[in-house]
Amino acid sequence: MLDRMKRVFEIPGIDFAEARWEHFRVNKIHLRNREKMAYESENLSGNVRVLVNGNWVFVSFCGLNIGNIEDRVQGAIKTAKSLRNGYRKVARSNTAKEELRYSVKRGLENVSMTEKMQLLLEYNSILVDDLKERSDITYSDHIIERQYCNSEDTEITEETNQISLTIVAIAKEGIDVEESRDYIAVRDFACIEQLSRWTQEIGLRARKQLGAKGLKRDMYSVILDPSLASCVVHEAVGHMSEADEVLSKTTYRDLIAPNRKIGIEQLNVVDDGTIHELVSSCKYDDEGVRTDKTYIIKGGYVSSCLQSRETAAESNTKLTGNARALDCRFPPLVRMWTTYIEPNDWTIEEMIRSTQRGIYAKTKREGRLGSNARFTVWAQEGFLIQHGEIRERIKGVVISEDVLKCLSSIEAIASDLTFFSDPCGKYDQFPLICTRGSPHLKLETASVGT
Amino acid sequence: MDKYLLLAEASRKATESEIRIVNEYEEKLSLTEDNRTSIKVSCSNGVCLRVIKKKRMGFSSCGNLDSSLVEKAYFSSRYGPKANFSFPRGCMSDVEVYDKKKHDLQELVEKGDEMREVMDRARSVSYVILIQKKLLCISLLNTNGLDCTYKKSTYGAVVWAGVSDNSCGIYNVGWSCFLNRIDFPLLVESALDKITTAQKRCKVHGVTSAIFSPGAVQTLLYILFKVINHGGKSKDRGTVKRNNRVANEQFSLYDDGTLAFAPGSSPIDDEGISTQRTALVEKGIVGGFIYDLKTAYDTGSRPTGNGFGGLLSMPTTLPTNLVIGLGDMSIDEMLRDMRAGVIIDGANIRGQNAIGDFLISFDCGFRVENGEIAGRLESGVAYANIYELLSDIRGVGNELFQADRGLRVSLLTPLVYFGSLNVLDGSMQP
Repeated sequence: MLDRMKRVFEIPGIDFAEARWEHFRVNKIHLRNREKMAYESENLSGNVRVLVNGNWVFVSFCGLNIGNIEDRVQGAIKTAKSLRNGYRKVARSNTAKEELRYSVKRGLENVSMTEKMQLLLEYNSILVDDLKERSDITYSDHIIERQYCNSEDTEITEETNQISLTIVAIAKEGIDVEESRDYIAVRDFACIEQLSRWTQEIGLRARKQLGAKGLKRDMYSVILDPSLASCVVHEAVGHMSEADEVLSKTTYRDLIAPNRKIGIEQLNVVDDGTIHELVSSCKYDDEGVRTDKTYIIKGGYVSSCLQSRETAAESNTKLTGNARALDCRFPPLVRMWTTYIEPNDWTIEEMIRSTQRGIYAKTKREGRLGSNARFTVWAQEGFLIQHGEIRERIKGVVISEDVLKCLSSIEAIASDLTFFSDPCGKYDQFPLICTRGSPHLKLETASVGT
Repeated sequence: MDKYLLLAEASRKATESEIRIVNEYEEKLSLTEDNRTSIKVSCSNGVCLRVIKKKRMGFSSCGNLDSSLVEKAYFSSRYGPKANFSFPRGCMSDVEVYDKKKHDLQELVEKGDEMREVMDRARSVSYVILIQKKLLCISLLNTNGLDCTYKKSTYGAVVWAGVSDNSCGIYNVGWSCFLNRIDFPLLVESALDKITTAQKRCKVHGVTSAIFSPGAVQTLLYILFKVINHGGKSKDRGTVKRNNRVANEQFSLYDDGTLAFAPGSSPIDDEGISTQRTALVEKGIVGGFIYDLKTAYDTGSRPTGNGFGGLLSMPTTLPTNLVIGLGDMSIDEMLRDMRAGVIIDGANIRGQNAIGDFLISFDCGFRVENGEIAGRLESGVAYANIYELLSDIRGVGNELFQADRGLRVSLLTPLVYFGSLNVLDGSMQP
């Protein structure tokens, strides 16, 4: 298949070309309260992307019997040549020839649907039978074979697994209802086998939040647990450092200007595609560029942005290997791999003791960055802190703050770096698995509540 | 493998079987002010097999008519949900969704160039124009005698225009099953009008009156549907049932899969039930629900022609075209009544919980002062409860607009004016 697609590279007048081919087998299981459903799906997909006269042509297919791919590409190129000349260009990279495989304790090939179902029914039983809650459990796994090649003579093959599990628990007491949720994405099925405690924590979190008081919006000192702190890092720093966003938004460009002082000296924010034990990593990105460890913020100063071939060429800077596509139906965009804050030496106990009036916000519910460089995160759990001690539970813990103000308000960074894998969306490409990481963070002051 | 052979093979193993074959062809053209053009062409095939075995449902899918589908669907039925229903013989409603006139990529380019010319006249406006075409051919057959095929075409245009430093963006969308029914010049001209209005930066914080534009209303409906589907919580936090009040009497909502030229319409759903118009909310009271075969069976109701699946996924209950009933207020009357408040123009859901509390972000909004638009709000966040918000409708517009950026479900809605909305972050220092 790839050889057929590569013939397109020989069409005259092409500045750069690449082709991808992907075969995937998917198992999906959905449990909702006592109802269950499981099914299997399989398909073949691929694409060809060509830069011609400074404009992109992207042709994708999904399934067999899709006709002659060369003809479709030729037709699209003909139309592209009739357009005004564009200004798109790409940075060049080294040629690579690689076959990538990942070692896991338990690959998906050795796990039957029956075993998967049995395991998930056990988790479901923890919520429905033990905690008397409503449940919504969504499991999916992908066995993926990929091939990539480009006009720089790069050829990469990859065999990988991707397993994701979302658990939602809904607790009810009288008229009060609380929902708690969490998500995990891994390559190794062995990691899915030991989640009873995690499931129970999700269920208990929903139960404990019942009856919590709402929080009036005000300025507070805030301690963010690693789940929420890493969400701030992903939303506020990660998205803002994606070079396509930086190039198109003046607000971001001003904020993420190189060597700008943006936080305390201990603040280091990294995006890293090379942490191979995490599902959101790969030796090469989806443009055949080697991934790297990139410091976005170093010593409190802005260091680098995340680049694709196109943004690196436009801003005349070095490639970082951050072009990722959701699957073969989509062209690559600048995306994060694993974005995290490096740990420092505080403990959570020291942070709480040092807080006179504040909020301890735990577990991400949702987060986003606005185009005006303000971000919002919504916590699933919250606690009031008074005179250095944790007091009652609160809900409606929504933190909305200016990115720069937030980063410069970081007062303390703990040592307990923890990673979370999450689906991330950009334009129409959702859900792409990214990992976010952080230790506990303490913000001197932030706007919290509803 | 032939589809009839596959069905015959499936029927040897299962009590009932159904095959859905989907062929999709899509072209997308994206144009920008700085000549960053891209052309996307995609073609996709999917074959979905659904079986009922021992009164349980099984499912499998792949990219072609493969005999292994039968074994996989049969195996899946062991874990499938109860299915005490039969696949229907089917009957297609008569709805115009296919434009027989061919419109090639070059014609989309010409439409795009015309729009670009208008946008280029306004200097220093950054913009993205997206024009897309989708052709769909669906074949559906089952062991109870259904054997039908229909074609559908959908065309859409989106204009995104950035204000000054791109910190605020304005969306305009248009869609139709027939290309020539989209008013391309109107989309760009009205985007430019909005940009003129949005030049001055304003700030808002706290509880204020709010007018929701079509894009923002779309987000509210998504929240409402999700809450109702998630176990059905209403304002009194009991299960939402027929005749429950979920909004005040100014709000009516219909699902209509039979609207001519609308992207969500089709002669038949993906399970073989003809599409129809269903009253969901009438004057604030729940009038009915939409169902697929399974949910209709589970609730003792009749299916409403709302069972739709993706290329490789099983049918589930989905809306077709959502239509909000017209009111009698013009935008000027809303502004005069409001005196001060905000207009939310396009919003995204940023989280919600089981009882309908939600957080939305908006790409762009407008500040209203003294009954007039005073300037723009940039990228803010609002927090509310869907039932409380819908109970606080002060007015509904007297003109229908199109919403939705995709080509699957469409929304026709007037502007909706709410008494109060809690804006957490809609501020930018002037």
